[in-house]
Amino acid sequence: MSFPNRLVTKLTGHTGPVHCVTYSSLSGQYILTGSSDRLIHLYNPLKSSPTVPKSGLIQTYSAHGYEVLDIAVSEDNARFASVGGDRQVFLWDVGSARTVRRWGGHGGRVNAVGFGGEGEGGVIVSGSFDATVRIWDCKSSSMKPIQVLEQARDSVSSLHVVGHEIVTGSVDGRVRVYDLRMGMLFVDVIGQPITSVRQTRDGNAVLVSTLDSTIRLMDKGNGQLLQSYKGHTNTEYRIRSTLGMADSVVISGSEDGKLYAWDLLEGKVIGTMEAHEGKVASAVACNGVRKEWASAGVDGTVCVWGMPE
Amino acid sequence: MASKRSLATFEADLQAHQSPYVIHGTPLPPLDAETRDDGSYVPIWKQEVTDEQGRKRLHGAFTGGFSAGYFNTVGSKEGWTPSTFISSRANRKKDAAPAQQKPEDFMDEEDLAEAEEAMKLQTTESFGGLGSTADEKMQHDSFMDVFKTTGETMGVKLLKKMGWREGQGIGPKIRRKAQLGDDQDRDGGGDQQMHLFAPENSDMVSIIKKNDRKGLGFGGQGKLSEAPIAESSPQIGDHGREDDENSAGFRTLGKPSKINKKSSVRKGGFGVGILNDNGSDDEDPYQMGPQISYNRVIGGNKKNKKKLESGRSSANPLVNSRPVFVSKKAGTAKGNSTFRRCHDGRLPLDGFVLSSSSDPLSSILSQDGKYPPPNIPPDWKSSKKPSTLTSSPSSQPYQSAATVAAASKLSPKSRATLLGETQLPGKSVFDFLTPDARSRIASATNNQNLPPALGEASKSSSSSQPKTLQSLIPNLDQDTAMRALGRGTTGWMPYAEDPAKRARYRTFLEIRAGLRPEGTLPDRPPGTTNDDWVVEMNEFARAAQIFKPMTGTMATRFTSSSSAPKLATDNVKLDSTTDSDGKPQLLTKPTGKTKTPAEEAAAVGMYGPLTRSVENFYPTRLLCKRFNVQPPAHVQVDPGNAPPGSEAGGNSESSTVLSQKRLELVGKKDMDELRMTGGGMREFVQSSEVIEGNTGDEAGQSTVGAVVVDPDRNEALEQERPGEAVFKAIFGSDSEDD
Repeated sequence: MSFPNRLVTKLTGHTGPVHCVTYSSLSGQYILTGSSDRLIHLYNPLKSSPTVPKSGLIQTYSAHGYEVLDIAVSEDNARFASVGGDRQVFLWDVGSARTVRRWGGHGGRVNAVGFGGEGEGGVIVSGSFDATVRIWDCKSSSMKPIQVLEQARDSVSSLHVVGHEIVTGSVDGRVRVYDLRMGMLFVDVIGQPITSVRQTRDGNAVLVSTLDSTIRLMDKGNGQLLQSYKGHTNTEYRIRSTLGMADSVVISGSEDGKLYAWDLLEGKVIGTMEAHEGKVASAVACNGVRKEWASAGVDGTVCVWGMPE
Repeated sequence: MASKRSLATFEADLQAHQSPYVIHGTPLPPLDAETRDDGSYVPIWKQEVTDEQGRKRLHGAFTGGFSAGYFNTVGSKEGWTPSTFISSRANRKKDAAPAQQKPEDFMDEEDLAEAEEAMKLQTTESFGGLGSTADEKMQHDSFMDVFKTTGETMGVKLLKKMGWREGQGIGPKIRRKAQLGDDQDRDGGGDQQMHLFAPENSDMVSIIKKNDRKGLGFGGQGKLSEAPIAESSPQIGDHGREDDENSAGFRTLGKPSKINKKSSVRKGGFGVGILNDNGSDDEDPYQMGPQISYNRVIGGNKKNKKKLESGRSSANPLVNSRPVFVSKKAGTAKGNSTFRRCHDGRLPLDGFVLSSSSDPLSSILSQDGKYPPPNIPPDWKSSKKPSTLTSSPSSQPYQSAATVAAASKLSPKSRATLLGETQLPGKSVFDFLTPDARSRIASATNNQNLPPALGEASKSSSSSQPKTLQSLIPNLDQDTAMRALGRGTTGWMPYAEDPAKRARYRTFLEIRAGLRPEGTLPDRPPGTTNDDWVVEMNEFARAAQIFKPMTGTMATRFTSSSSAPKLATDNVKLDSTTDSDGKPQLLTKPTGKTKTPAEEAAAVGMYGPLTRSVENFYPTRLLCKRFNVQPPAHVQVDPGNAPPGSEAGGNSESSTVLSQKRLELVGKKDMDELRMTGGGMREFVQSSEVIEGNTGDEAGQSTVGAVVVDPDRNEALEQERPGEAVFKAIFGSDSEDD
């Protein structure tokens, strides 16, 4: 099985650790990165070359007063939301590089954000260190959240909104699946602090990263363990993992600076890539269309990986 | 030319009109934007009359007339509606219409309140003072009012509680004959029965201030200017007042005589005018009667001269003892009065004689320092040294009686036993308790100082004995001590900031738990007194009560915190949130804590039903709308009102989870069994189904709906009356009927 393990380009420009990397919606032409230097960068990886510094940097979004921890892009690519240490959720207009809305209400830094709902007037879901998930309405001008989900017992580190379901992972070691249509909350105890949750495209399984250097694929229907992926190091930092290549590959960063890829079904390591100067590789993102993915590291760079030529 | 201002321009600066005194800043807007307060003309049909609450009210002719509220209607939009009376066979008018209309029917709240006000009874203001009229009140020094309490003093209240009534004396009751009046001879009525009477009231000692320069007992001529003085001090006899008991005008200071009241006719120099009135009622200057004799001749008459003489003779006490006719009755009274009484009017105690003069020795000594006491030589030392070793009371500094009394631990009962008084008949709860029950209460309340129980010897004698140090250790259940110790071993223990104190606490617990040999004393912090030690041990005992681990249902409701509270002494590095690379450490691993079954299952990798739990989740309607999904069934009802378990959701999984979580007071199995056995009892089945309905059973809800309560019919009342025998059996006694 071929895996895109060739370093296509390296996106530079950040002066601090990069915490999150996201591909734009639809075709996934652009990459958005959020960093500790309080800036959000918009890159076009196709126009970037690894030798030229700051090449491919299209736009810089600066409004955050603290580090940027997560970014989510709306379906129509017109807006994106970013969260970070300033306990607020920022909704940006991509073109004008200005914040459209800012919602405050979280009691701690906001770890994760996601777009939800249908159409342009959807909602923004944010999970915070204050152990709450807040759902903000983009349509109305209300500054209050539509709903606050307070079931988590510890910091909500990661969330993924798919359809009518909100999947959250918390440091209390539990994956919570809020099913809006059924009005049910499914709680799966993983036992270890969760750093990343991601649902598969078919909606039947959730990929869960935990601080015991293990990534688990959990069955969403009955909470059983489908597969576990080991080999990387993840005991201290929030290392994101993701599913790629039409949900056939599991990709994750590692604290030893390497990037690992596993086969989804068999759980074997199919690729190990060295990057980020041996520093923590904190986040990965997969392009939904092309066979391409990106990884972000504490060294302040974003590596874009593609198929070998 | 000045033209008439248009209404619009007038309205424009309406605000300026309403706040003409605001120079700086912006005036506040008017209270009510609708109404204008500038006094401009409002036609009568636009005027509104409201009551204090701002409601439109129909007022009487004097307070607004019929222009109030709706113009020329009776305060309502539709006008007055005549009362109707409808009754039918099916629907009878239960309470007949009021036969007679009362004025109250036509009164609104204000009128009713006014009527209420009018019915209140209260005394006029002059009654408020100390039995005085208003003008006497005027003379009161306002400064004195600060010290004088109005109304009953606490002493009077206490006395009244003990059975005393005003006008009585204080003390044990006296058995004597009734005194029916002055005219009755005291010795005479031998046939009278003896009764118990309250002692006679003793007079207040009133010392009259002498603030004039007249001779002792001389009140001076009755003059117009002196009227207030005579009024304020009626004891000082006026000139011309005749008194047969005491020498005229002469009073021993501090012993007012009551006989004074029966004063003879006053005969002043030029007669008594209204201005000379000294306020006493029996001296009405215009009273017609034989007592009054008007002076018609200037210069006085023979009688007046005589008065002057007696007034002069008062200065010479010898003249006073001229022989006078004394009636037999007065003589006996005098004979009694030869015994000198104490200032409170009582005879001195048996065996005591009132001294006629002050002690000669002391009076000599006190004479202007003639014989002063000898000076103590500067190097003199008393041979009687206060011993510093024993803490005898003499070594302590002086303590007032009040502080000693406050410090003493004697209860009224123990004081009574010390004094040898008989016990009061009052009983406490402990008099009905067995010693066993008392000891249980003592251990539960941690108070060893409870009164003795029934049949138990009073411990007051033992309490007076010096306590051993062992007995000073506060009592604590062995069980509690063990559990508090156990809590300490598992993790947390109070006094973390003071290791020495914690060690003492542990020792104390060990002693109370019986882990140390009998008779060991808890550690004592160095350099502390016994009292401090006891105080600390009491604190330990309370701490052990509080910090013992919880049991039962309470324990299930709490979980221990994963991190201990930060102490001031802890020197935790606070910069641990960033690592060497400067990247914020986003996640910290929780420290070890007790694991739930699900977590244990997850730890061994048994993911599945063991690690999964399902709860209800109530998305708001707006959220469902934004996600373009239909709200779930249990959100159709307002989730705020619905109890969490009462949703009609058909998900069996959730309902079983819920019912497992619910604290089952009566087991479901037990309920089923009961239902089987009590088959015929329909009500019981209903009630059990109600319980089921609460746990999310749809069938239960429908049954609940079937129970119809008819408000017009009371089953209990309208049942057939049981037979007489039943009533007899219950209300029993025939003797009452007969």
